[in-house]
Amino acid sequence: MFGTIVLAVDGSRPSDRAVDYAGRLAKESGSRIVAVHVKEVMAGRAAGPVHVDEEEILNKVRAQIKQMNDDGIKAELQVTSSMTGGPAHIIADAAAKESADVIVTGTRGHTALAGVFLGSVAQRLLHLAGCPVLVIPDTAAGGTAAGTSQEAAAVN
Amino acid sequence: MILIATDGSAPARAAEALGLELARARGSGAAFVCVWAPLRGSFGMPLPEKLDPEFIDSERTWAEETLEAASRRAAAAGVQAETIIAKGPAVQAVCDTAEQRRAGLVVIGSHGWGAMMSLIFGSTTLGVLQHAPCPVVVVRDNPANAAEAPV
Repeated sequence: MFGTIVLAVDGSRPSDRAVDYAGRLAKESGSRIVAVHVKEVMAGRAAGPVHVDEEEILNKVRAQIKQMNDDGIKAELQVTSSMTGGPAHIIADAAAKESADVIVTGTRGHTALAGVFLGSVAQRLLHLAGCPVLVIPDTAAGGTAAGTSQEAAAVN
Repeated sequence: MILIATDGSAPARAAEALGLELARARGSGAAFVCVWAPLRGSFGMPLPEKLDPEFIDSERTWAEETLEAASRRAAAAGVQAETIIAKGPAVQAVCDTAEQRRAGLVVIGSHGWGAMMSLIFGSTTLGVLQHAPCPVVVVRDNPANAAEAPV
């Protein structure tokens, strides 16, 4: 079915859901997982680029991959940096290089704006990916519609 | 249950193929949903009843034929797939069907007949991504066909 799954990870809550789903999918069909984490590099004021909480995020993502390995899933982590906001390109390229059968991603990551249902990375991925893209909804109930309007209401 | 949204377009055909493959591999049920909307006159007004009923019903007939064709392809692939005909708007019809049938997964093409070219994402697909009660797989037309698409 899915021989190779490329999994977009960034340690955010939507990403956690994608990790869980990909793990189950891999277990079910004996797939290999290539998790791709793109470090978000923010432009610092004067001291050059700063990675925001990058250590913390990386530790979390590493632990998630280790957990998969402990569960008997063949999973590896690829970490790259992006200066110019091109995580989607990097993930799509990784999928092409690994001949991925599917890319699994959450609806949005850390940097998405509240109320935006589909983050820019997920949206660009849909355009760039040469393989199917599996998008995991954000809320426990599934549909993001109610969640998004609630979030929007909370923000307002 | 895997719900496959189809309108017979090339990306939808690719979605059908993946959905059937997944259903077979997982041993889960599969269903096709095709959405139709009644033809409307100018400014979205309903068409006069006096018009040829065959013309008024042409969209529904199209949906039925699309589902029949999908069903035949499923049978050829060795998968028994249910067919569901739903009345539009498309996003709501697909998502409501997914909810009613408790679909575990929706498979949909990147765009349907509505898109002007393959590089533009269909509004139906984006809407389904937003409102679906379950994970959604978006499938593009196969790259060989995409290469021939206008840029």
